[in-house]
Amino acid sequence: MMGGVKAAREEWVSRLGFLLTMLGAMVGLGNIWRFPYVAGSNGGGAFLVAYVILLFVVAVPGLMGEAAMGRFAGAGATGTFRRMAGFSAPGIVVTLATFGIMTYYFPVIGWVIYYFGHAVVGTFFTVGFDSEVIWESFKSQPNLKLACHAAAVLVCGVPLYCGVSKGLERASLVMVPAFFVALGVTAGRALTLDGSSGGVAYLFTPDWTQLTEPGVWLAAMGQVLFSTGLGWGIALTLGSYLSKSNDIPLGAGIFTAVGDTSISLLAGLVVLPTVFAFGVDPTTGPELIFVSLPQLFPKMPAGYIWCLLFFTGFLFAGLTSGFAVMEVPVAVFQEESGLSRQQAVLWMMAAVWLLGLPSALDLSFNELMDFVFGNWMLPLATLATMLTLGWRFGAMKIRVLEVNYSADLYIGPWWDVAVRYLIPLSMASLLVWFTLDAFQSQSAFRTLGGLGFVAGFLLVSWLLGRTLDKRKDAKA
Amino acid sequence: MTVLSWIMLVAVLTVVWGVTAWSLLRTLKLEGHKADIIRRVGNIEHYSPKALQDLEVWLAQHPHAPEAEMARRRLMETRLRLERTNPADRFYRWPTDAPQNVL
Repeated sequence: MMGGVKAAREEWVSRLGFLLTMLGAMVGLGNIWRFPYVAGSNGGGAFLVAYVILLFVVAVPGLMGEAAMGRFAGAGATGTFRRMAGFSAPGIVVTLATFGIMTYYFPVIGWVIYYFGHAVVGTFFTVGFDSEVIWESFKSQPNLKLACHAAAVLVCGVPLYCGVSKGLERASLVMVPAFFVALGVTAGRALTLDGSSGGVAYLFTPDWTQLTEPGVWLAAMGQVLFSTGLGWGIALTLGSYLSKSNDIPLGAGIFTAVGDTSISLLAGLVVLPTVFAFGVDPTTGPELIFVSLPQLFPKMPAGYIWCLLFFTGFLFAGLTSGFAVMEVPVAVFQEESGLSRQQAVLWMMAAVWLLGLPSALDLSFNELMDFVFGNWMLPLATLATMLTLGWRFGAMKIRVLEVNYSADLYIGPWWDVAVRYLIPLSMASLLVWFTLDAFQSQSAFRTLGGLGFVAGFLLVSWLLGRTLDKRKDAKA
Repeated sequence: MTVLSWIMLVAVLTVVWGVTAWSLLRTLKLEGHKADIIRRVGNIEHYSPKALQDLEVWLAQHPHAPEAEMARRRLMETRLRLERTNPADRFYRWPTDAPQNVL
C-alpha cells in the first residue's frame, strides 16, 4: 500500500489522537487573550460573521490541502515541497517561519508556567497581593525569565522526544480534553457573575456597518490565519503521519478549523464576562491574562478553584501548541540530517531555547519578532504553500489523488477555486494591508528593517534550499 | 443584551459548536466503520463514486502526467475491489449495479 519512505514513517494510533493533536496544535494562547478582544473591538457579531465566512473559504480548504500535501509526500515540509514543487526552498520558508515564531512563543509559555505556579500556591489570594508588582518583578528578573523559558522548552521537549504516537498523541489525548473541560467549567462561573452580560454583548452584538470596512475583514483574515495555523506547516507535518486509509477533509479540515474557533468562543465566554463584571479594559493584550485576571479571581466566591482551572486550561493550551508546532522543524531536521528522532529533538529544543533568549529577556524584542513574523512571514509561508499546491503541483491533481482518497466527505471542484485563487488573493491582500498599516503605525526604520529582515530571510531560505536539494541530488 | 445580541449568540454558537460536534462524531464513526471493514476483508475501496469519476476525468485530461501511473493503479485497484467485495463490505454507498457502472 505504501512506498519505502512512507512505510518507515510513524503513524497515528487512533483517530481521536490525531484530531486532538491537530486541535491542540492550533489552539494556543492567542485563542484565549487575543480572539475575544479582536472580535469585540471589530464589530462583535458582525466580525464573527466575517470570521466564520473566512474560516470556511480560507482555513478549511487550506488545512485540507496542507494535510493532503504531507500525506501525499510522506515527508516533512522540505521533503514535501521538494517532491511537489521540485525544490525545497518554500519548505525552508515554512519551517524557518514556524521555528522563528516558536523562539518567541516558548518564552510566553514560560510566563504561563510561572503564573500557573502562582495559581497553585495561591499567591493571588494572599493579603496585599498586587498583580502589577508580580508582573513587573517577573519582568525585571532575567534569571527567572530564563528559567521559565527553559522549563517551557523542557516540558514540551518530553512528548516530542517520546515520538508522534507515544508522545504527541498521548499527551494531547489528556491535555486537550482537560483544557476544554477547564475552560467550559470556568465559563459557567464567568457567565453567572453579576454584570457579565456586558462581556457577552461586547462579543456578540453586531455592528453591521463594520462589515463594509475592509480593515475588519483583514483583521478577521489575520486572526483566522494566526489562530488556525494555516501555512505554518503543522497540518502538513501532522498529516504526513496519517495512514492512506484515513480521511483528510472532515478531520484535518473542518474539525480542526471550526474546532479551533469553538475553543476561541469558549475562551471569549470566560474572559469577556469576567473582565466586564469587574470593569476591566478587555483590550490590554497579554497583560489582560497576567495582570487583570489575577486581580479578579480573589473577588469571586471559591476564586482559588476558578483561578486554578483557568490557568490549567491556559497552560495546557500553550503546551499542546508548543510541542505539536515544534514537530514541524523537528521532522525537517530529522529527515534532512539523517539523525535519530531523539537527537533531532535535542538539537531543535536546544536551538529554540538559545535563539529564544533575546525574546525571553526583552519583552520589546519579543514584540518585534511578533511584528515581523506575524505580519509578513506567516502570510508569505501560506502564500508559498498555496501557490505550490494550486499552481505548481495542481489543485485538481492533489484533490483527486489525495484529498478525496479515503475521504469521509467528498470535496468538489469548488476547492480548486479556493486553493488557486481565494487563499492566495487573501494572503496577498493581507501582506499589502500589514505593510501599509506598519508604515502608518510604526516608525519607518522599524518597518523597513522588518522588510529587510524578510528579504534576507527569503534569500537565506533559497540558498539553504538549493544546498539541501544539491545534496539530495548527489546522494540520489 | 439586546434581542439581536441573543440571536447572534445562539446562531454563532449553534453553527460553530454544532459543526465541530458533528464533524468529530461523524469522522470517528466513519473511521471506526472503515477499521471494521479493513479487519474483515483486508482493505476498503479508497474512492467514493464521485471521487472516482473525478479521478477518471483527470486521468483522461492528463494521460501523460508524472502521477498518471499512480492514478491508473488507484483506478484499477478501486474497480477490482468493487468487483470482488460484497456490497455490505464496501465503505462508500454505491448503486447496486456499481461494478458494472464503474467498469
